[in-house]
Amino acid sequence: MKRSDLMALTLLMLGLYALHPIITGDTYILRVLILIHIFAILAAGFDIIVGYTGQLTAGHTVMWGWGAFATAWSILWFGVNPVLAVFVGALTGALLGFAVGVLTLRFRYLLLTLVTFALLILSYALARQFTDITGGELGLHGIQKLTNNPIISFYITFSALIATVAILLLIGRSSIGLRMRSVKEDETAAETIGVDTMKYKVLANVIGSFFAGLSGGLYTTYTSSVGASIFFLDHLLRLILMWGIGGGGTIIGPVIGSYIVILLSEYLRFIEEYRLILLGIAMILIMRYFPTGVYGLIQRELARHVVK
Amino acid sequence: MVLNIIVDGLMLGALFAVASIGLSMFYSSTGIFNLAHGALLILGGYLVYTGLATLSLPLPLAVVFSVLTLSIFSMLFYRYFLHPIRHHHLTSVLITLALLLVLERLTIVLYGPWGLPFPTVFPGVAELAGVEVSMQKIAVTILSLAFIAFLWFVMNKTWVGLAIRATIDNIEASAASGINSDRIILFSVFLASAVTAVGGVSIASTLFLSPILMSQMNMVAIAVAILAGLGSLWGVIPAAFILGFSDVIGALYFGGWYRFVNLALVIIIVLLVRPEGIFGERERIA
Repeated sequence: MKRSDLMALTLLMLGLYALHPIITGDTYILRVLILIHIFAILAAGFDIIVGYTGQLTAGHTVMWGWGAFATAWSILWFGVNPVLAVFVGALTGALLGFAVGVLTLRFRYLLLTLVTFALLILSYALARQFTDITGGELGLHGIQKLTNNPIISFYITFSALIATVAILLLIGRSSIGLRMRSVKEDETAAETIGVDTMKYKVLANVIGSFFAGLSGGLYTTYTSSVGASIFFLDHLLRLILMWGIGGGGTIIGPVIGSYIVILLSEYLRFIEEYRLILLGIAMILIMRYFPTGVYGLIQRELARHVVK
Repeated sequence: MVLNIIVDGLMLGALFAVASIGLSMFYSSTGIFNLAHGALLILGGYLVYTGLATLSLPLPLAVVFSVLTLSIFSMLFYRYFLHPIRHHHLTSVLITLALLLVLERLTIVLYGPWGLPFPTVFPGVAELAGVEVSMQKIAVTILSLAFIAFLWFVMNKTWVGLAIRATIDNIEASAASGINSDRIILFSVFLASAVTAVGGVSIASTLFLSPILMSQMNMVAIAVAILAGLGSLWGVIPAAFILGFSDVIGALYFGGWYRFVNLALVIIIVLLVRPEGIFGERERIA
């Protein structure tokens, strides 16, 4: 198979995927796919921080959660148009990402993970305690949706996902992405050849958190509610499953991972709690034996069969 | 009132110490921060419950059953999944997080999401300077401290302990002087899991037995390890008592919700102000 054929095939499949809601109009599958799009944006943003600069942040769902709250507040209190409110959420995410990025600059590796983990717990405790503002465990409800039509929702979230992946891939393949990767491989070496590692670490945090906030805004305008449960550890663990199973450092990998994780949890409903056990075991095996994940395996197979 | 705080703080401190020391020990000997520690800890309590209720063993044998099962699992998991990737920081953290998820869900499937009753072995109530405390809590506190003392004895007064400390200190030099470092690390994983299982029994017999405790005690262990300083084994004990007292006092003045904030704030503030903790050494960190 030639490379151009592969591109054509990929585009054809994407086109079919984009058209299928009009043809089938099955709302159940649409609901699942909308959630997948939202989580895929989150996972892709996570990848620019973890997969590119190697900062294993556990605080990505913090940005996601506060982005969702910012969107909810601007709609409920200030009557902002929902479309604008989603961007308010994204900007909140980016601002928080900047703050956390600067705060955690002095930490590497494990300490960074633990500090951001503490931020997640702190966010949960605050959101649960200040019930007047956040609604606590029960949460805020009646947030105006972007649209009530699942087909339109599908297209909004799908185009947001495509835009996210395109922007992140462009950044990742530009010289900025290359410098971010050098930070991940060896920070000292990167500094020696003149990469401003601080700048690129913070930049990765800002970009990744922007998309986390965007995903949070889309999530809250889709479910029309948000509560302290958004900071549950479960969301972070699911995000990490998506990242690890899909294959980090590729942007597309985590997106594939979110399709795998959510579709499997949806279609394996009959085995209930065992779903996450299976996914967790799969994640351990993949991290141990195929660290490049499912996307890495696909790439390897393609490299074998595709001629330039 | 003050006496209440002192008694509660001491008991919680002892509980925190026995719950966290396994994490520090695992980290110092293997270099991997085991984020599944909380799950292993509470699983230790559940295994005793299985030993008592399902296998109807007497309590001491049930504890031995729990210690052995948990240690063998930890050693196998370390040997086949963590040892080969121990130099890959990101992978090792992610694998232990995935293990936390798996163990937590497995416990929910096997034992149900709600708390289980744990038998009272030491019935009765004692009066400590006007404060009523159940005998069970006193006995468990003493046993926990005794087990930590035993661990201290093994680490400081035996040849194996010397070999472990040498391996932690400098793995190449200890290998050059004839210590089989792989085997020693595996043995310290065994010791760390044994003390973790005992910690789980202490928690189960004084608090309660519930999967919710897994992530909560995980946070406690992380906060204690950071306050003590990563890689500092005995700093865990004063750090555990500090956290135990601040937990009791904080919960009294601010309400129960403050417990989480306390732990999270300790982690953030200690790392910002003094990342090596109270007793840690700077070069040991990450």
